[in-house]
Amino acid sequence: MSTCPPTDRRCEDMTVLLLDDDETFRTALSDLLCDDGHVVQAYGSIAEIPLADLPAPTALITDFQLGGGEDGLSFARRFNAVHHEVPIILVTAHTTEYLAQAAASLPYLSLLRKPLAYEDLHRLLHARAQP
Amino acid sequence: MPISKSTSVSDAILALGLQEARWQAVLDSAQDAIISIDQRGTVTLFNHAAEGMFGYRAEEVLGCNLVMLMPAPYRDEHPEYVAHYEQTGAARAIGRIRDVHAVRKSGEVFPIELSVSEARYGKERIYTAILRDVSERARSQAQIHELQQLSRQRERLADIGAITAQVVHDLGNPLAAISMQAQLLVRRLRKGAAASELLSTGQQVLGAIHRLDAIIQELTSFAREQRLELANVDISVLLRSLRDLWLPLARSREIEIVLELPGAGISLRADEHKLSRVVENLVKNAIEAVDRGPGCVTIHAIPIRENVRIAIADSGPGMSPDIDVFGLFETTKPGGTGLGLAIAKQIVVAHGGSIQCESRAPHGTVFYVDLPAHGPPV
Repeated sequence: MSTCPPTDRRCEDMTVLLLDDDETFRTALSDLLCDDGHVVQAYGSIAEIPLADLPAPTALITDFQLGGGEDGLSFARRFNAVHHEVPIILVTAHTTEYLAQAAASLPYLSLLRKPLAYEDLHRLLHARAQP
Repeated sequence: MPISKSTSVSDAILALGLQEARWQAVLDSAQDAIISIDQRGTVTLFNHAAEGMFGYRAEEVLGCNLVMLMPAPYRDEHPEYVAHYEQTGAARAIGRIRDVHAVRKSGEVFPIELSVSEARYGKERIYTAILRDVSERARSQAQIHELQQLSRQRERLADIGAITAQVVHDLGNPLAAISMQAQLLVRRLRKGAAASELLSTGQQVLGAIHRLDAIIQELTSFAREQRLELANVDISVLLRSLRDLWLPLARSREIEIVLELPGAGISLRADEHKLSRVVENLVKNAIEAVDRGPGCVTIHAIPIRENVRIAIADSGPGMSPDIDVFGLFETTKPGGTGLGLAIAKQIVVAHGGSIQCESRAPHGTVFYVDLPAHGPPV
């Protein structure tokens, strides 16, 4: 896991849990989020996340295909069972009807297609996390 | 009643009547159409089933030429054909079942099975045809054929769909990484970041481009026909050099690579570069399966009859039996393309060999590559 301290006082209470097995994507997104003052907890695999002991983040951003067994959607459901109120953004290079339908049926979940514009993600993060 | 010399005329007439009635009963109850013609092609018999099949009443056909029941080109050829047969005895329809077409009163042309027999009475010849309407069967066959084609088409489309989705995904991920790094770069440049701060971003972008390129290379390699450049390959030399290549990485993870070779050298007719790619892929997979040692990867080669067997075993956790490891895009590794083993299998098969995987979970996995020693069969 990698974390970075908040640098922007406006957002210092926003802790983003980021899960993506692509290190290049994960580090760039972490840096951008940190620049915007979020506390980022970034993980490369589900196994590394201490879900039971994790203090509730403000939002979860997770990739769909993570390598290994469990996918991001399944993790999102498990995560939601523990942290009901936390919005989840599922990012994926998969463009399947199945994912679109799943996202539409889960009110706490939004879907963003990779490659994504950071501004879109940031806007969504704020819209979902600070209604 | 059989008719003999002692039979009286009235008895003979009665017997003939009975015989006629019996034949009529047979003709009328037959499921197939029965039609008789004389030498000139004039219809002399048209049974009940023929009426149903052609839509004519018997009296509309009797005395007319048979060609009224035939579509072109049979209609035009038939008189000539009968004449030719009577002159030469060369029959096309007599004594065999032929698939031809007939025409109904409505003008509808339909497929039939036709068999013709010939009877002679003095100088007269009578040709009797039995016809079976096979339109239903032809329709079902056409439907089955159409469904099979449709199903094949759908399977192909589904395959193309699955492959496209996977390619989109595999290319989309490094592209997303490049995009995110580029967005970070733009922001840092706007803030006037120092060049040293931007170096890592540039390197990350290059790394992701390299990954993209590797995927494209693998896809190209998979799509290309496997042309082999065959030569005599010394397997011991090939396996030793591969072991030396991977040993530093393996040892950095506390994994030992053990080479087990028979005393005598093993020679194989193969494409050295491609074969090397297969074994390298298997060795790399084996190291990744163990991940962190202490562990062991064993490379073993042995001649078995006309074949050479190369086995690569690892001491990893083994694999789930549900995975088709040689399937296109099948992968259990984060960041894996699922092309490596599919390509390996394609190369082995091109050599006339086979590749198998045996999971000994939880005690590792063994891959067996069997190749014909004298090269692929010509």
